[in-house]
Amino acid sequence: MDGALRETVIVARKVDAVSELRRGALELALLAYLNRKTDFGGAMISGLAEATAQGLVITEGALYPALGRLEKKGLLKPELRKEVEGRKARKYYALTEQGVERLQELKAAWIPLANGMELLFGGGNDE
Amino acid sequence: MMSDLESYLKQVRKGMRFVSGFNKTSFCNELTAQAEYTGTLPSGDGKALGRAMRQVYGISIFFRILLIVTAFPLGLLSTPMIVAWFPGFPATLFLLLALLWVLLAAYYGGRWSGLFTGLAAAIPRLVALVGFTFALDFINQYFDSYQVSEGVLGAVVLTSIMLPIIGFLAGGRIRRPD
Repeated sequence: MDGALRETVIVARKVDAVSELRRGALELALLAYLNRKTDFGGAMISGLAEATAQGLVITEGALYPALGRLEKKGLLKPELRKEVEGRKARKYYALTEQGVERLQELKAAWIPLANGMELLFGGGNDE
Repeated sequence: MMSDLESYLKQVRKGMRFVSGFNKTSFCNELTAQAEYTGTLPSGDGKALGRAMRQVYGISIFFRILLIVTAFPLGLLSTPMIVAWFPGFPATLFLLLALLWVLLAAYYGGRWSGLFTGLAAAIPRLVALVGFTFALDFINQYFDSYQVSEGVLGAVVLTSIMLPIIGFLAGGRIRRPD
């Protein structure tokens, strides 16, 4: 394989691995975020970044399909609210009972996993 | 910004081709509300976002039915025994078209659309096969003793079974959006 092409393939695989990691975490992050407060898509992007100290910076391309999937699974309940006259109604998302249960399940699995990974990485001191 | 937003939403709508009008409008309104709130355009490729949303919403019932209904005549016309009535009829070409139709259904509608469109193409082929077997004596009264080899019969059965399987498997191969 040509050197430049190999480099491109490696970069593409790295990007793919990172997006796989993000995708796995995004569902839990959205459920956890919406458990704190109901919010709409536009505010969620900055809200999530702020709540995670810029640890989870997402775009519309990741947010809306994830919200759609969660809504389809019955974990989120949308509500349209017309807040500003002359502007489009905002679609606010809230957790359903099923969503709260799912959050508890995922959280119970995530915390020991994250702690274990932290230990594996050397307690955060290993660069 | 409004004209930029309009062209962005146009791309989103393009990506959401075959999704129901209600879902398209509802999602575009959501994006407009976001743009009004942030004062900026949504980032990223609008068409890619639309395609990702199509995978969430799925295509509309109207298009699902259209795909299934159209597969019936394609399946029927792809039956090789049709040459008994219409010599030189390009049945293989119609088989290829039926296969492409099933793949199209799988691509846009996912595995269940692929499966049902495949079934819709396969059923008339199998019905035609059975019908032809019973009608063979009648046909041979008018045509020059038309014969079908065991190989052709086997190929009809096999390709008919393959169509829904291909549709189902191809639909499952579509990646989820990032």
